[in-house]
Amino acid sequence: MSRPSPALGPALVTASVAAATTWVALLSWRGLTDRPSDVLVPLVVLAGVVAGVGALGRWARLGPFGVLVLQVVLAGMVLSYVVSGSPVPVGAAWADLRAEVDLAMEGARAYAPPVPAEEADVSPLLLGGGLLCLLLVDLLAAGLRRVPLAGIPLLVAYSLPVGLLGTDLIWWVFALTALGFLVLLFGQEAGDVDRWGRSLEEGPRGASGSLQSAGVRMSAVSIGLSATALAVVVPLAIPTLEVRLLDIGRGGPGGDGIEIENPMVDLRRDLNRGADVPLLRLTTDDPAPSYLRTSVLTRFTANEWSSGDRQIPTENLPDGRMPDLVGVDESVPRSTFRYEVEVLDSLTSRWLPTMAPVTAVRAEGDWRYDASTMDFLSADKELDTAGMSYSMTGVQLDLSAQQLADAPSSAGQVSADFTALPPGMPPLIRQLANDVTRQAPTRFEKAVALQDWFRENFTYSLDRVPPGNGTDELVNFLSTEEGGRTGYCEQFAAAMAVMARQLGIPARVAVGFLVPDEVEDGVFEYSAHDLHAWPEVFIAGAGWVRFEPTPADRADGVPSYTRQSVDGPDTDPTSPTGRPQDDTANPGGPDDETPDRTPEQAEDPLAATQDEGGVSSAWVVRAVGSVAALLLLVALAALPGAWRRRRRVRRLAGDLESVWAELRDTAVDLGVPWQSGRSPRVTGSALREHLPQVGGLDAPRPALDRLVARLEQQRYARADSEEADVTEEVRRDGVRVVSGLVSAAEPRARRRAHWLPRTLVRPTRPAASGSPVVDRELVDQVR
Amino acid sequence: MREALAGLTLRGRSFVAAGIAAIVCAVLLGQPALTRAGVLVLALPLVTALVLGRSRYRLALLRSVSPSLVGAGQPARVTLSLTNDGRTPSGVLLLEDKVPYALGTRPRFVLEGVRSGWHRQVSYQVRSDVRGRHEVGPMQVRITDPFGLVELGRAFRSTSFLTVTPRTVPLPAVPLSGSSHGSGDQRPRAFATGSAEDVTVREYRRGDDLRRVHWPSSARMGELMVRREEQPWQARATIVIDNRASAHRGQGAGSSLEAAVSVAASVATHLAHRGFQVRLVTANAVEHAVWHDRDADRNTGPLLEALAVLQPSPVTTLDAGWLAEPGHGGLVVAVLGAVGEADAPVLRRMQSLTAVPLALALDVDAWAGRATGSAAPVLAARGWRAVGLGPQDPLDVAWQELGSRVGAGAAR
Repeated sequence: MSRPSPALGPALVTASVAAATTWVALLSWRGLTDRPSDVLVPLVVLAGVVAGVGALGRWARLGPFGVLVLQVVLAGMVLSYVVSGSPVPVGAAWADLRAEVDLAMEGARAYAPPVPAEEADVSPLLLGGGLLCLLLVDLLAAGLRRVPLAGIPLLVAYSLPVGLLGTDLIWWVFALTALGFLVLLFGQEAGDVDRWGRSLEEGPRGASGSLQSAGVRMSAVSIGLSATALAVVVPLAIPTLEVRLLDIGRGGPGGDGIEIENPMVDLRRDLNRGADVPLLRLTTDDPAPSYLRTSVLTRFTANEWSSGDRQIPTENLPDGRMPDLVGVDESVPRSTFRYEVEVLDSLTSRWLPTMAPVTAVRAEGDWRYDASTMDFLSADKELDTAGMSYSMTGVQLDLSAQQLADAPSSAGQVSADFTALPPGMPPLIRQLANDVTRQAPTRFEKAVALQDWFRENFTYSLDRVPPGNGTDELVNFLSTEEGGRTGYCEQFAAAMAVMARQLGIPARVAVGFLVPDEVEDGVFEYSAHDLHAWPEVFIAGAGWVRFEPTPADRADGVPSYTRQSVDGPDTDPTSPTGRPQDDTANPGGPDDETPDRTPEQAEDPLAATQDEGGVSSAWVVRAVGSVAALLLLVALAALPGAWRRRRRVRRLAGDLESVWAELRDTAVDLGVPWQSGRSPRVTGSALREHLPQVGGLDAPRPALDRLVARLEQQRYARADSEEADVTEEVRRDGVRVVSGLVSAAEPRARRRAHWLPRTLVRPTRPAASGSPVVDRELVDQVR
Repeated sequence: MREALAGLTLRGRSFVAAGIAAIVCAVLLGQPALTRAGVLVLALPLVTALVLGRSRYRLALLRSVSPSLVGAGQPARVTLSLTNDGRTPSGVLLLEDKVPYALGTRPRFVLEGVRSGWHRQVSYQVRSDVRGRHEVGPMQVRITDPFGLVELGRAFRSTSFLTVTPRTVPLPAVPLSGSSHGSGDQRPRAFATGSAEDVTVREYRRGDDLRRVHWPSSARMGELMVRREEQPWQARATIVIDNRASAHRGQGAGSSLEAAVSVAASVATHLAHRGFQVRLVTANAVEHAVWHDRDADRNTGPLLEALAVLQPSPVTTLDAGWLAEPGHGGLVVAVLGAVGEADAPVLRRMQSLTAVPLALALDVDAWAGRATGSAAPVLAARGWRAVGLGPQDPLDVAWQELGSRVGAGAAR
């Protein structure tokens, strides 16, 4: 068959497979926007254009880069049509296109994925990126015939969402991409083989060239499927160490990704619910427990505070001691209390309420904590708090205002995420923050100034405020216009945290419970109306310090909290982490705090392990376990060799025939040919060649000769011939010959004989006669 | 498996390296997506090596070349008979027969998915313009996988030979003997017609005519001897080719030696067809100085074969050993290159063998680009019948000219 140009069929097949593979890889981008069909459907069209133009162009021999230019032009027109409605972006259409792209860029910056399509349509960006991938893969795989290189854009396209979404990718997307890649690789190799020479197989040749036979296809399919299956399964067993050299790739490691519910939404719902349902019961030796934290919101995007990304590796389980308190200086005096928590069925939360800070938590189930925020999150979608009970050890830090004010810079101690703000913050917030804190010299005093400003100038109300804590809501909240400066704890906490971040102070919003009611002695009950939000600010040496900007006149009765008085930061510094309840007992203020609580470090077993043990028990268990497993493996590996050596010792201590049998097994183990079924003399002379040439009577060769002679005598001589007791001599000769054989063997054969002797299973197996036949695949026939 | 791992191609090795790097990075940085890709890329070559290393095929090859002796420019056919006695190989077998480039491109075959008991006969044609003994084979086999990750090299060991004889030119029949009475044709003839003085005898056999008993011999031997009525008359021709490297110019196929070989082959073929018993003598005479049978045309074969493998000899003087052997006579045709003073004694002895020796003297310098004339005038002066031959001169014309110089002894 003569053809003037490369056949259109194979070119079309290759281009289509390349485009389809890329499209499948781009399926992993679904999570980037909440309307993935807006991206994926036009991408099908783009893929079709790229593949069709590519195949036709190559068929017309345009050259790889000519084809690329054509593809860029045509696919660019399609892209422009999809984005701006006009295939030729000139004039108004160009402005339109620019505007769309700018909007998309803005949206990509402002929103965390999945980006809501109503707010900001990022599909132009995704379409552009997808088109780039399609073009690259088509150029590399079909144009330049460098399929392995095409794997790189495929990998990038496939793994891009990992960094942005922080979730694991769907396995079948990977499997399909991998299979597509393998089909491309197979196609390229088939083409190469086809060009190399003519096939000896007669009959119809497929349009795509060589490698058509069933056998080769079978092996290709089996290789490809098994490699893909391995790639899907094996990573589940590979641990991820989470060494964060670069701050790339947020999100949980394999299998840890879970959907994070926004606690702020729950807070609003619960506060508005009306009925003050009891939610949680606390049994404690703490005379006045208060702030019980459910979760921490770390990320502020322009429209809300969210819990951000969490690192919850599988080892971060609440199984006792917790990591050291983040950023707390050793010298800070502290006292610890035990808490037994009983969650009622009415509280369904995927976050575990704990004290902050805590030194130990024991809870059943796959709860995991993030070491930087120390909040506990259910890693199991089915797992929530309803009806569970657990215990913890909380710490009360006795912070002094002076110490806080003297604190050094916290730079570098916490992630930059805690001061990050979205771009385009309204200038009002910054201006207010600067105005309010102008008089305060230190970070701590600035924070106190903010808190006081909120408490003095704002009104608490749950009713007249639209829920929300985005930029717009905050601007409304902070403005002095109608309806401004009124809100509830959500706005107070959110606004103060945002303003603190504006000042460069690491801040976050904590959500939890405020003050419980004491139902009986030592038993406290948190109810729905105790739900609260408050900001936490990082001060070096004191860790995350709680502030309370919500005004004292919070509507429904939490009297101890509302009574909290805050003194001026310059004269009588507040200790916001001091417990507001103290004020009821000691109206003098937190400075003359009387520790009516007994520190109980010594009595608390959980805390004790923390203070003394450098190595946690879990770590010890794991280390011991792995060492034991390793030892077991070594023992298993050593078992065959040991078994064999035991038999050798037994045989070499036996009579002449057993020594001879041992000699044969040693030879077989070492791969030395053993002439079985021959006379001892023939066997011996063959064996002699494999013994080291050393002189002397003790050398292996004379020892073998003596053994052979005695064996002949024993086997063939008359029974009544001399019965000299030579057993000892025989045994010694046997040892000599065996060690001679071993020492003369190749290192590889020796290793094999040592670890996995051939005669282990069938020691009495007659050895193969002659030298082992090397399996030759190619036979020369001579006529 | 070990061999298959050693046989990883560049692509396979890159995949292994990329896979390991990806997995290490993924483990350190906590990137599950990267782990997957790493495992895939690492597993591919390893699984391939495993699959390929386990294939137990057993391929047998039988090669035959027919004819094994061809003239230059004539095609010969190599037939390969392939049989798979083992199992189906899991890879693709790329077969390449190592054929010298003088015989043409190396034939390549792709073998895939051949079943057990598969048998196929393929043949390909070779053709060479270069004389010589060419080795066909051994067949090299590369086993590769469908993804091009592993490639194992194997080779059969058997080879076949194809002898390509020099190009010959049909020559016109010219009178070759110096005798003036002949028809110009030195045909063998009955012994009885010649002088019967030197009678040869043999023992009497039943049926022999009593009149043929040779009594003097019978008296001498003590038993009946009879005269032999006829004896094969042998028309012999000795072709001397000067293959000394020093006597020739040029390299390879364009050298004057090749032309000399071609001339010698043409003359030998021509003489053999005319019924001569031809022998070939080279500068290092001995090995080729055998009389070849003149029975049939086919028997120019060994002669041409000898010429096919004739190599330039490093010796500096023409060997004269064969001149001392008995049983000479007949025609002497010398194909000479450059003739020096040192060659004069050997040439003189050759001259003494026969009445008029013939010589085709090549103008060897013309092959090197500068024509200085051949040695023909010198030889003619010594009593040879000689013609010169340049690179462009047709041999048959020269041969005709040689025949026309019967008795003349003059050179052009």
